[in-house]
Amino acid sequence: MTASRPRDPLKRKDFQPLREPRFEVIPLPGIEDEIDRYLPADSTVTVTASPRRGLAPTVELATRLATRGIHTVPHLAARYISDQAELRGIVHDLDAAGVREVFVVGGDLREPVGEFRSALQLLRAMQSIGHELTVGIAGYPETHPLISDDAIVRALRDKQDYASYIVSQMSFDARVVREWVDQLRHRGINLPVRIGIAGPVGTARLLRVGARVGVGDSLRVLRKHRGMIQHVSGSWTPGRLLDDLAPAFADPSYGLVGLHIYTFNALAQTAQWWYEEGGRRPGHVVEGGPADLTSEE
Amino acid sequence: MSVNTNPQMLLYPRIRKSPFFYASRRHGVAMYSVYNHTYHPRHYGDPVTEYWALLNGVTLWDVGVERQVEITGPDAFDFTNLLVTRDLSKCKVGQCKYVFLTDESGGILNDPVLLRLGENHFWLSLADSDIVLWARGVAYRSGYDVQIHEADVAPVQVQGPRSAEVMRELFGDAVLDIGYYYLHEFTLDGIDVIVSRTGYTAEVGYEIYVRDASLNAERAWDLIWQAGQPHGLQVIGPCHIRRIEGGILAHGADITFDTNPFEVGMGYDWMVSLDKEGDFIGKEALTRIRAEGPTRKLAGVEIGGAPLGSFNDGSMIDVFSVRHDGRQVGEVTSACYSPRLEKNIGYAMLPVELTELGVHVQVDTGSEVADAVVVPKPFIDPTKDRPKQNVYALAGTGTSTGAPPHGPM
Repeated sequence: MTASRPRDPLKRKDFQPLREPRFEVIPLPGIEDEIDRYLPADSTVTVTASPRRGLAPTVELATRLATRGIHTVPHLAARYISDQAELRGIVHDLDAAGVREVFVVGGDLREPVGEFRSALQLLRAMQSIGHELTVGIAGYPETHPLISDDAIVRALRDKQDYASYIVSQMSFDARVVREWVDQLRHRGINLPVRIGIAGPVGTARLLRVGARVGVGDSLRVLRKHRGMIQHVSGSWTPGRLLDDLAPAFADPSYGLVGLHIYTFNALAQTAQWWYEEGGRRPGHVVEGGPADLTSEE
Repeated sequence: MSVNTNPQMLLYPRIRKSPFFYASRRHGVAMYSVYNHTYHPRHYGDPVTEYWALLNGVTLWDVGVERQVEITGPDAFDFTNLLVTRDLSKCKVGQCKYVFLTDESGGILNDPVLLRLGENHFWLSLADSDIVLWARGVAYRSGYDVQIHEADVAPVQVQGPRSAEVMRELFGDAVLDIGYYYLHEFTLDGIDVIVSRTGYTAEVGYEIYVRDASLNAERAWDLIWQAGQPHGLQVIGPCHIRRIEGGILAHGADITFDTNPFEVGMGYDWMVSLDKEGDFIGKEALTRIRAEGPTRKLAGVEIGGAPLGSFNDGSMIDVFSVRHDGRQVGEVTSACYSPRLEKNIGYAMLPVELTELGVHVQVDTGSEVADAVVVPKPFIDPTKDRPKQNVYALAGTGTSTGAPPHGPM
């Protein structure tokens, strides 16, 4: 057996958060092949849910990936689920496929399709059904287009008893992220936080998506820092943001545990960028150990 | 008078030998402890080298001290469900669950991995406490029709990113179909074994439970060792650095009879099913504790000062006392130096108000009083992405055969 060696030099090989990244994908036709082709085989893949198409494509893709042994985390959006019976069915199908973890959000519909208006309601319903899933919940460093800030922090406090970690909605401004985490910690929200960052994609796409998910404020940062946009390609790369976040990752009182990368399904660029930044290659060795562990027999 | 800081451990007939005792000894055990009244190899010379071997390769552990309490009989399901805080109706035949056994006041008596081998057939793969006696005591005159005994079964752990390769070598592609926390029966050159995708590492890993261990253990060990050689398999002791990094607790240290699930931070969402059908021992107390909230909690701490050791090297012979504002407020129950985080990390049982992230306390490590800060636990990979990785990819088969997996299907 030959273990392939990490390709070097890698820019950021000591940056722990790049180690166990999660790649978020949108369940569109063809994405499964792209996951196989581009993402590291041991990746964790999270699958979004869309207000227009409901949860069916999410559950379908998640169960397919999980059945093939890929660690998969589907999003469950409260407002897209009609009732307890549907929820019971979803939890059952995910469990049967070997899904061990879900990400619970309210969902981007003004009016729920059924009886669940909020993530908290869904979490309580899940608990009453009884389930064995690890649960992640969403945090919003910036204003969410549909919810007030105070209500969001209150909701996080209510939700934290049902969850194991928080993922932050993407942001482009490290200061905004740091202040938001500070505020959580001061208000007794102690769950580990995984920082959501946008993968390397075209800025036009980002601006479109950004307005919808309420990250407009920090997108303005993009426009302000000429250096952050390579005008040649009109694309954004997260490198500078990671530099700015490094001190917070290194400071234990922030409780940051890793990265959640929004890929917008641009998996080829995202994986390429991640390798170059210092992600693990297949057969990657955790630095610091005896070097001879990569030797082939 | 002077203290001998490194006295020897007496090997003699009265302390039990695990079925692997003579097999693991040949690899040069450097230190034993006693666990379930049984000699337990703790390391083979250098725990830090063992840590890197686990992180980067594949390792074999003698964990014959994980004695198996076997519960069978027509009432085995109902009886076992009474002993544990989780809802066993959610545990299929062929599935494993990490469980707590609690007493009437909610104190944790043991935190075994439970294996469900049949509708009414369970193994409790024990941490260090006498659950055979407890279970028999509970069953005595209870009216439950169950048989409880210690099975002649002993496990080894095969753990690390290359463990799937070794398991494939031993059992073929079918072993890769075992889902995380599921089990399957195999034979190894005629020896009956149960393989589960579980372990004490937060890395990808497996346990191989050898049946009729008093007869088969040594031969099974040798077969595993041989199969592992082309993959760089190394024999190591249980890696406490990795389990502390990964938020895995140790009964007798972080968890005792006097701690309850809500204090160790495992009560709210999944370890305690207060609303499961049927009663369980400790339900009333835990319902009350949950409503009132625990008064103390186990927190993650980063501890300054000189590097501590590896926990299983004799560097932490007792808990460290914790002080805040000059008062003693709690104790560090496990701690070590993490070579990759380049920090001392550990767990401290503290009053709830001191468990907010960023709170500073002082820890007396025995050699100095060091500053410590409360941080989220675990220190690495809180959602266990690593042990849940795609093993088809790790073992180099690319992808599943498409055959229905053992377990989740």
